[in-house]
Amino acid sequence: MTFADQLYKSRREKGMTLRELAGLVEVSMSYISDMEHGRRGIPNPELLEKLEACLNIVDGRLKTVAQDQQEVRQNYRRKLETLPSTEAVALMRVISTMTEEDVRKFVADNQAKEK
Amino acid sequence: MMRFRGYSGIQVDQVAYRVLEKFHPEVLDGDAGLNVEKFLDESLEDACGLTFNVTESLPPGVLGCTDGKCLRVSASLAEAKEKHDLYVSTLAHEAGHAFLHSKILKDAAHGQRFEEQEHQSIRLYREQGRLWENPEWQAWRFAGALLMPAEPLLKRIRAGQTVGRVASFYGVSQSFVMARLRALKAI
Repeated sequence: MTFADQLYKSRREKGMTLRELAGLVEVSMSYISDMEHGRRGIPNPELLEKLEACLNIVDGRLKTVAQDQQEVRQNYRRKLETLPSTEAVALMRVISTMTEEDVRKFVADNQAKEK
Repeated sequence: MMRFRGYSGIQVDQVAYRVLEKFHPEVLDGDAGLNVEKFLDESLEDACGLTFNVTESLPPGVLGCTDGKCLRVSASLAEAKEKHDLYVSTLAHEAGHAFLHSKILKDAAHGQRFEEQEHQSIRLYREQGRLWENPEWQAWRFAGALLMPAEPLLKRIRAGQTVGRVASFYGVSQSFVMARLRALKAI
């Protein structure tokens, strides 16, 4: 599960609207909505803490999924840096055409292969 | 070009009535107005399979947009207290596209969507063939019926409430109340 999915799921489980959560953590509604739809990256630790507190998450699952996602991204970045520049450029061109859905599927497939 | 099923005004009202009956029957009793933002946030996905988004990423001047995957509304409109009535009617209009047209949008080619431009909030798109087949007209009719169900609205008017007071109760503009009353042939 991605950070976006986990945030959306936790908010729904808590029965909280976008406006209510945005008000509690003092960001705009679009900020929450963008995080829930993967249009915004992992938030800073302070906001992550606030989100977990407001959503009554006691087992740290939002932070865990955020950390996992950041590690996956860092791993791919490191792998990219090891490639010759022509291959890296070609790869980045392909990635730039991928939708959020393509990216999620790609990451999930690769994680499954690695396990 | 997509072709849309025709709906009479009464048919659109019936679709909105069934939605309220299922999700917010208290609105039909007339004691409460619909909190359309809360309704879409909580129930749109279960009802239509579309997600509710508040976003800065709409093109300039576009207030709302619905495609086969999600309903998006402009963040600046959502946050602007002085434009609350426009926000409410835009949300209800997009809900109309979601409830009446989501199936055809899901089946259509990628990228098909409805966009609502600024300053066209109550405009009817009469230029495109027959009115009852016009998805914009259908969505506005739905918006009126969702926010102002016929019976409780007419009860308030018959009780002598002013259009301003009725508009304030439903969180919409006075012109939208007038449009709804005209649609119901009450004026």
